[in-house]
Amino acid sequence: MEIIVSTLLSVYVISLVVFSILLYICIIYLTRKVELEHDDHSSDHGHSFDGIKELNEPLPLWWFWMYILGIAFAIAYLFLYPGLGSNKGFLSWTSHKECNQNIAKNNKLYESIYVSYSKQNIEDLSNNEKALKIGRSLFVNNCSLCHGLDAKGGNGFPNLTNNKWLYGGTPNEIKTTITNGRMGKMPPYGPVLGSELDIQSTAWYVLSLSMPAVSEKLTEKGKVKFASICSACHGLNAKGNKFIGAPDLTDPQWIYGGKFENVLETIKKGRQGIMPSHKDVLSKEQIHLLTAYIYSLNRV
Amino acid sequence: MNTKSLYQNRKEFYTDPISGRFNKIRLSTMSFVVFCFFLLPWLSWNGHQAFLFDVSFNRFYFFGSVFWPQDFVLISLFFIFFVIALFVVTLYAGRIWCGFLCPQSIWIKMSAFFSRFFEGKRNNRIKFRNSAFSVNKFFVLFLKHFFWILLSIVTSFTFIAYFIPVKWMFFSLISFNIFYNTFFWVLFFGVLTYFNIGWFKEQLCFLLCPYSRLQSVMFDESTLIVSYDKERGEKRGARSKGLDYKLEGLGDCIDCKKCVTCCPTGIDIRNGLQMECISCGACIDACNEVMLKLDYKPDLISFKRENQNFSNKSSSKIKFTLYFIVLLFFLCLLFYFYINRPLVHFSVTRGQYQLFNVTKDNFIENFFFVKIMNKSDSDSTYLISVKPNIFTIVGNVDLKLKPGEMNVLNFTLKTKNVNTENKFMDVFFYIFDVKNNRLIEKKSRFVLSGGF
Repeated sequence: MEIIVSTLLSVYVISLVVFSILLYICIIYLTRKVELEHDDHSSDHGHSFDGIKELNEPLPLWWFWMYILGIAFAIAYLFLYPGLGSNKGFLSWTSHKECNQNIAKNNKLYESIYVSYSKQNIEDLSNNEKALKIGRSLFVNNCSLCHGLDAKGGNGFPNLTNNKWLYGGTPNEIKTTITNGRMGKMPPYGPVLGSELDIQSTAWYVLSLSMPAVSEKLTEKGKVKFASICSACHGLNAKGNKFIGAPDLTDPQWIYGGKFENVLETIKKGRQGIMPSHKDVLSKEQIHLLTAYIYSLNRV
Repeated sequence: MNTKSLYQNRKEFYTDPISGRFNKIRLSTMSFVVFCFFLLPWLSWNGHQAFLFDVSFNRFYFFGSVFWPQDFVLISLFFIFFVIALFVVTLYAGRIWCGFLCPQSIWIKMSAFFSRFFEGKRNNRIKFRNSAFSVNKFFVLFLKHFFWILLSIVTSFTFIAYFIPVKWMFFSLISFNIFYNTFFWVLFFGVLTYFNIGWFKEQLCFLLCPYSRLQSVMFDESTLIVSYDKERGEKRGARSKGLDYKLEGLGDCIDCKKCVTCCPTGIDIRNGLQMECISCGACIDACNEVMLKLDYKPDLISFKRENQNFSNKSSSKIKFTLYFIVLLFFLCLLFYFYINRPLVHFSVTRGQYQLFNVTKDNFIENFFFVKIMNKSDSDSTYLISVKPNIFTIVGNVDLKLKPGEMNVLNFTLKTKNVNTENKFMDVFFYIFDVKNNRLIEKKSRFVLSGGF
């Protein structure tokens, strides 16, 4: 059914186009001359208004050639470009192809800039104002959706300006994070830790690591639980582990909030943080500049 | 049955040179236009070309002022002003623009000069045209076309120089470091000019220029036009010596056809006012020369108003006054917009993706992009401030920009202890242009809390 409809439509369009071109040729052929009724060469139409007569006066000859040129252009166009129904034309031009060509052209235009920057190391680039300007616009377009326009993150999204890193803050580590993405997982430990009291105590202990004011009574049970369960990932000193992305719990920086309820929820229900891979979105050179920009944010 | 073709080729006509009062005026006004046209691109002002439509950087330099695409209203106003001025002039003095100032008339005259220089007078040229092909003919034609082409190329080079800096073009030309794009446009307009002065000529006035078609709307009985005194001239004809022609019933016109052969548009003015007449006064000069020789009164053909006294005809006077008021109005408008045109482009956009952010110490933050572009032709410093006063600005508040430079500032505004019942709040951004001493305001919105 679809084939019949598209074929019929194609035939309809072709016949319309061909008919109108033939019609124009006929009209121009038929109107090139006029028969004179009188011999005075004026070819009066017989219409007159207020003393003004309508005559059939000749047009300039080049005008006639413009018509012919117009028809020739139409035929040449239909031959080269898609116009006759579903016929693709001699050049098989599509807007999609042209768009891709223009993108390639544009990329080529900026290629030299990117390549010259990609040869410099990131520490140097993070002092280069021009490179950072490009890096910033890449950040705004690709990263700020989650990390915020000022890169300070938000609930669930890490702050990129405080020099605290889940997966390490050297230029290479940042680059790996952007290129391949990261999958952070805090499993739900509610049932494992035991009673509600144990969980609350663990939460208080975690808070006490960065907030010394918490009383020891509250944290007594939690300390034991932390050493036996949590320390597997976060380490005995709770400094975290950058190889699996376990956060440092001894600083007051929190991704999911630093209130008691927040920490309790994190322990009970777990968290999942996903940083998507950007190797298909950005080129290597772009990632290089982006890394330099993010690296520059963490210098004090 | 008799038929007639509805397409007609251009009929070539051969003009004779004339000399006289109007020709002198014409030569001086035309030389002035040509002089300005060729000189203007070479002037510079403050290190840039004084008159330049810079197409690659989207700006228009006019001596000390720079206009940007946003100021286009000024240019359109200028054209409206120009069109109304044309109406006023036309009502008073007819198509003197065409005869005395229009580039098309000037270039036709230049082209005719080369034809006459190489091929001789009218009769010689008609003979030359119909003569058999010979080496001599080829040589003369070659010289004529060579000078036409030279004129076309110089014209088109100068024309392009209004769009691409002329010094750059000139040096790339003499060092043979020609850029394909520039070269193409010079060649393109060169070919068009050659085609225009070699063949198209007065057809532009008849067939393309709207002015000749619109003139009947602008004219009235008091307009100054070139006219032939029919009562005095008719009946025209040759006369024998010694006899009183008036007794034979003849008028002053001896039908020498000098007024026809000198006409740059090839018409016979004795048929009355025609659409083709460009009011150049060549026929007046030609006729006066003959009248002087015959010892007749001059001005058989002359610039005349049908209604002899302009000031007596009240309707024309009212029309003229009204036109003049409109003209003045547009002049004031143009002046007002010129004085008050913004010398800085300033816009405030809210940051994408994030409506607001609450920091740990309970500040509410909003992000803005502040875009500032210096549109003046000198360096300037811009100071940024925000109202109401409850907001603190995080980031730079002053910015130095070179002419034409643009910068986007990332702006964070933060505030504390505000009533968040209203979800939005108006916030006003101000920049103070230190150099030009102007304050510009832009309104934006600050989001205080979310949820609906």
